[in-house]
Amino acid sequence: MSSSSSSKMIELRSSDGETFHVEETVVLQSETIKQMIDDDCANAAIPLPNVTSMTLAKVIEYIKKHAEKPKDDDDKKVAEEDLKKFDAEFVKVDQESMLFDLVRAANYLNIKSLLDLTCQAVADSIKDLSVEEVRKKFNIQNDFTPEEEAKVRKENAWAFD
Amino acid sequence: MNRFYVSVSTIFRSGAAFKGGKTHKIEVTDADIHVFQRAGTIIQRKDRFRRSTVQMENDPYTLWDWNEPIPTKVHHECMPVAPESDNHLNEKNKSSNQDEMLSEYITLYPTTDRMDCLPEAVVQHILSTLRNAKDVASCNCVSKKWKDSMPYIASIYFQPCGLLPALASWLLLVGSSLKSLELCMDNLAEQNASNDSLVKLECIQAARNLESLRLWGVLIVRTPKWDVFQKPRNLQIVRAKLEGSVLTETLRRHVASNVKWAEEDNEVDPHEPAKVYKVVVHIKGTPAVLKEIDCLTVTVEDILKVEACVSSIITKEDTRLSGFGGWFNVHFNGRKENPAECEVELTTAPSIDDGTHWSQQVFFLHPPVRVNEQDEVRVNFSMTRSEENHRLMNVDLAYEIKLSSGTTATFVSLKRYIQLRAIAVVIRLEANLDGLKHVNKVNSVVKLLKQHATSFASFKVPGSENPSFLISFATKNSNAGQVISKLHIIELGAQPAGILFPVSHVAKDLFLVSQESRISLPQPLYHTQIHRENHGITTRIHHHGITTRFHHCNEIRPDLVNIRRLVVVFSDWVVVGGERWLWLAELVMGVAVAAIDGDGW
Repeated sequence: MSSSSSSKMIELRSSDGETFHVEETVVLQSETIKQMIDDDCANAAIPLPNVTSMTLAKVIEYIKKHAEKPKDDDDKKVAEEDLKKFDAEFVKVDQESMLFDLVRAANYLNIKSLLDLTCQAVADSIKDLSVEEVRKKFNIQNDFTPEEEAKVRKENAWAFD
Repeated sequence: MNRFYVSVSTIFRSGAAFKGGKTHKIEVTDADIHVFQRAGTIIQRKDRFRRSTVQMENDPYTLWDWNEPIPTKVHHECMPVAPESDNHLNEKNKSSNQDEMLSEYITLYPTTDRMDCLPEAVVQHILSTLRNAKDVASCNCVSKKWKDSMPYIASIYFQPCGLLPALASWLLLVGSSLKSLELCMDNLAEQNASNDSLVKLECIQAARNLESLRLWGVLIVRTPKWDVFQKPRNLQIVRAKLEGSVLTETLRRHVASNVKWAEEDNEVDPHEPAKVYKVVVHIKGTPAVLKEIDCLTVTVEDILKVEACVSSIITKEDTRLSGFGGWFNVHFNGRKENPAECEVELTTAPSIDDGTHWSQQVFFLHPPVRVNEQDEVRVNFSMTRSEENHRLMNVDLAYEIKLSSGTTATFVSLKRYIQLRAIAVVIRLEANLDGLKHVNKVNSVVKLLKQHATSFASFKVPGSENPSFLISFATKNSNAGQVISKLHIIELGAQPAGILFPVSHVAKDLFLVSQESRISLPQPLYHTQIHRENHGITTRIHHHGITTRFHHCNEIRPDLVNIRRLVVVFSDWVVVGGERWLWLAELVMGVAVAAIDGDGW
């Protein structure tokens, strides 16, 4: 592609020291990195201490896919469909922890579309779960006192039929 | 004790290690100034990017463990308010063995699969995408933090279940943030005893900022107080039972207030549930012209009474006639001696693509009448000005339907009162600038205004002591690709005597002069005093012994712009243009300003 030859490459370093080379146009989807580039701090490798190489690879896969520009209108429709499919597949990760890593990475890198996508995926996994199941699944401490819990459960009792 | 010092550089947290007890020389740039911490310390930082530190006040602390030369990644973000983390910190701080504390902390709550390790804002974001009320309720009971995150939900969908008691307490909690509410209570329509649920539904009012409300299968027998919603955009009632008056009242209100509301398929049948009421009024008959007005020759007598007898052929098979719509079209075709090169039509007819911002006048019929293709609807229409209030029109509308089979089926007479606006008539408006004799540089003004097909006329309206001036012009604006054409009719001085502001009505009108024309006042004029009165803003302008009072007529943007140029003076009135506004001004003292200079005209 012509754009790839002209575009500047940005070097990203994950928390475990692995480096990734990504085109600047692609990586600009991340507001955080964009800010760094704007501030002229991106000449050396950008360390991302919050993001593991595994997660970063996924994130880069995502932003690369989303940076593709359709050539014409016909192409656009196909590309949109394609992107939707890609998104749906993208959040089907084997381990749930990966999903959370992605959420965190998206939040840290400030990539709004990825954050929305992954958050929606997490929210989807909450669907139709009971309170206990949610706690167990997401490892959440129940910090209600027994009285408080009884009260809040009473308030929301209609949902537990 | 650790003898390593770790660079905690401000930006990149490089984490390079430096052996203690000796001097190191390190290059420092503006962007990256090193801060050193003894290896092994735990640093709490607020790591969110914010525009100001004030906004960071409630941010969680991120704990960093700078133990080894290579920095450990974020271990945990702990909320300042989260009790469990506070307890742990306090207890362990006593023993001051922070490493141990942290490692224990981490094993207690392993980092995998943990929603808690996400920043609070993200948790809120996740929870706010929940739409099903049942899930929301479950999550409410999960933990305090989750419960606190609930008020940020923007949209809720209630499935049919006996949830009304919950709804009330819920809306109180989340009401202010809720933007979209969907209530699905299919069973309600079947339950005849609906009075209980009625009361409960009133709790929707708690959601004041609601922009979109969808009610499925509800029964409404009293008109809800639609007023409580401050910015309603979209109201859909699907498969609802609406008692007749509620419906007409609702529809009327929403048509009047220009909320996107009308019925799809024109099928307003209160007694038959299963209707979707949506945005567009469908036209099912051929439009008919009620009255043509030629603004060049029109007299007061001509428009004192509008009477017409028109007929329309239904163009759709087996449908219901639910009402009549009224709108106007304006043809700009110049004058006989100076005809326009191409005629321009401004139409305010309803269309599927929402081509006009004008809301149409709708006369609803109740109950609707069943009609078929080729049926003929004959309408007798008569409109007169109300004796008591000259801004009100009395409309008599009688119609009969002649079925295609030949028999006359219905004859009904309706009486309506409508507010004066250009409706239900086709106005023929042509440029008539004869009233502009004492305007400086008439030619340029004429040229300028002619693009807008202006008409000025003076006449006396019954019920008003003062003579009225009528200024009308049309404008065409393009905003972000969308072309908006508007017709502006300004009536001056037609107020009954005794009202402080002769032009207060004008404040209701929006005057937009197209961008290209950019008429504005001459530079030496500037406003020196601004105060708000009535609906608009009055500006006094003092200059060269001239005091002018300007009434700002634009309600959309009440803030003032510089007045740059005088446009028109006639009688005691001045019309001035701001950058995008036309203003009406009353000359308090002095005479018209002869300060229009040549440039730009």
